[in-house]
Amino acid sequence: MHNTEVEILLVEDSDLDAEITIRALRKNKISNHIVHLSDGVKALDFLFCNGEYSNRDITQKPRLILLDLKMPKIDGTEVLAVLKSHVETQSIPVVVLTSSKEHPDVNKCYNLGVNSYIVKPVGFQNFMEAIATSGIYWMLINQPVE
Amino acid sequence: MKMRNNLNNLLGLLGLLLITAKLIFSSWNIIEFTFLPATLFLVLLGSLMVFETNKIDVQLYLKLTGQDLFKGSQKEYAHRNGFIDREWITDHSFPTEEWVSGWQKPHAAAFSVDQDQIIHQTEKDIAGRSDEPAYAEHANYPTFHHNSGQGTSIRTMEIPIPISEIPMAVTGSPIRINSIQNLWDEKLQEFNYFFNHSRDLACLVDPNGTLELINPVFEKTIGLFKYEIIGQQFISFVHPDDIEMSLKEIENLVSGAQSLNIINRYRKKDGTYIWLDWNLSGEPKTGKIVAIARDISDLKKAEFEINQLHEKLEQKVMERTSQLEAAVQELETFTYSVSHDLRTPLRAIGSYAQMLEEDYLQALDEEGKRVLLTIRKSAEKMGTLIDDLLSFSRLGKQAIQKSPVDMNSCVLDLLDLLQHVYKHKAEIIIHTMPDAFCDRSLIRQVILNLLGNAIKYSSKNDHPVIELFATRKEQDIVFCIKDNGIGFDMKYAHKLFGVFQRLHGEKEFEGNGVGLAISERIINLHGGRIWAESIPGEGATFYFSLPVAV
Repeated sequence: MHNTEVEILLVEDSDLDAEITIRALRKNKISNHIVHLSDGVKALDFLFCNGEYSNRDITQKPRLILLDLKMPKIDGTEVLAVLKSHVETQSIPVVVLTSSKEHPDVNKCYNLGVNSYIVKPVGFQNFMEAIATSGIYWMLINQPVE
Repeated sequence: MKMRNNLNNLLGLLGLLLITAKLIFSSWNIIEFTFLPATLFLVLLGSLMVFETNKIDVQLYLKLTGQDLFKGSQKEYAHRNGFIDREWITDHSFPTEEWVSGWQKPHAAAFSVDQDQIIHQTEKDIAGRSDEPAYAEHANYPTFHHNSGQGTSIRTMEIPIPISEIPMAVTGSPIRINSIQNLWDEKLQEFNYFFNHSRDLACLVDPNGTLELINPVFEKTIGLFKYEIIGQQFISFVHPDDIEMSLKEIENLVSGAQSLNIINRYRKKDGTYIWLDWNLSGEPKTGKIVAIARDISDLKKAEFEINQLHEKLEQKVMERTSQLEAAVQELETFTYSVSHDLRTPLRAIGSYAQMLEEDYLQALDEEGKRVLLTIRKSAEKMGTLIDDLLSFSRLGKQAIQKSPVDMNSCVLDLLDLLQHVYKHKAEIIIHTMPDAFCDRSLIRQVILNLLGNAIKYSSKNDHPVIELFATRKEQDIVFCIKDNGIGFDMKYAHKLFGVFQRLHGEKEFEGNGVGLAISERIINLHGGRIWAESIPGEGATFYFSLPVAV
């Protein structure tokens, strides 16, 4: 699958949240190719074609990155900082998904240049809607960099 | 003037005794006197003069040596202060045989008499005279006799003035002179009393920086005898680190400063140092320095201790602050963990229940559907609870931003939301309310809580009526929300605003017991107060006060 075109990269350590997210996207007909990675290290390896992803085609950039903040090893803000500081990756829209608005890094994320910051809503219907709306916006409405 | 008449009448009858100036000075039996601090001496002299100028038979004269006569400054001083009204010129070094030109002439000129009316007498002549017993005792005092006739003699006494180094001469009858002498002694005793009993150190330093005179406290404080101190350099006792500063200050004094204060460390006999707070006064004419010092070692020690305590305190405050900061940080991490980690599995419960509902609803019977719904609702309720708790804890560290708020429009805005959430049938009457000075979003939350409660607890009434109004009470505006709901028992009023405290069962009325706790915290943050009154079955009125804008 390494050479397959990736449209959405989901970086999320919770398999359950990942499943809900993917389900929400699919339910809203956003069934583009989605890759789910469970931590920041894998995400960076994937994007920069290192480690187990060294054979991947680096020109195949995802159209959207859904990024969880609280992850083991390298957390979401660190991943974001790397992405936004590299020319190759800085134009990829990044939507941060977090469980809590209490997170002290909200401001940090915006300073790093996050494109959107979404608190996973308490209501589960709402969560589905939020994911769907965001997915529709970034995948269908937003005009990406040429 | 009277004196001059006497002199004229008694021409040639009495002799004038002359004692040489050298004798005069060495015999002036108050060696210490010459060392007295100049300022005190002048005060002493001044008071004597005031006392004496009223006596008609005593005149005060300034005796000037020929050399000093026209320098004038001392003379001016004496004139200005009314110490003298006539003066004569003399020279201590003239030979005895020339006394006519040395003593007789100027005396005669001063008293406006002929020269030969002033007769020279020896010391022995005075001692032997039966009408002048006092002179026998004071034979060594500077004494000049004028022939003033009718058995009365006039005597002149010289008083050395150390500060000007020109002697002052007092002329008068033996009795007056004697009383002046006694007065001098008295004044000297007074001076010595002050000098010797002073609790401050006092010393006189000559222009070369040598200690010339010290008082007993000086000796006692330094721990050396007088003879070990006199003749030493003033600066030789100063702590090496303070010498430069001290010399610099003293230089200011020499170059014209009237007086100044310095604080330095002074060495004691045992080699330890004490802190002295000096007042130095310079005497420009002689170049001497009068130095008075107070031992402030205890003060310095206290100061040092205070500084140390202060430092310790600072350190403690810093330690405590960092501990507090760590605790706050920990609490924030905890809060974050609660909100993040508790919600993640909760979201899974809810979402998976929803997936079940969406994908397998057909497979479930009615009981299965009810159980599934309960799972979803409970999970959702727990989510709300976590959010409420977090917002409650967040309020503790939040800074409020006050501005004038139109309470009427604020309430009107809420009505739609309330209708949407509660779908109620209550009649809500809003009386015109004054503007409040508050944090709009927070106060909105309070009103939402209180209105929500009013709607909730009056929902079982057939005609629920809710009234909002405000009254001005001294420096506060009190807002009231009154309902005709079930009310509560006043004996539980104290539990109303506690977290998770509820006065009604979950089955009766939904709620998690956080709303009023949040409301109270918000009102407290504004410096206001929240309370409630009720009669069970007749409704409840909730009040909150907000201070009027200053």
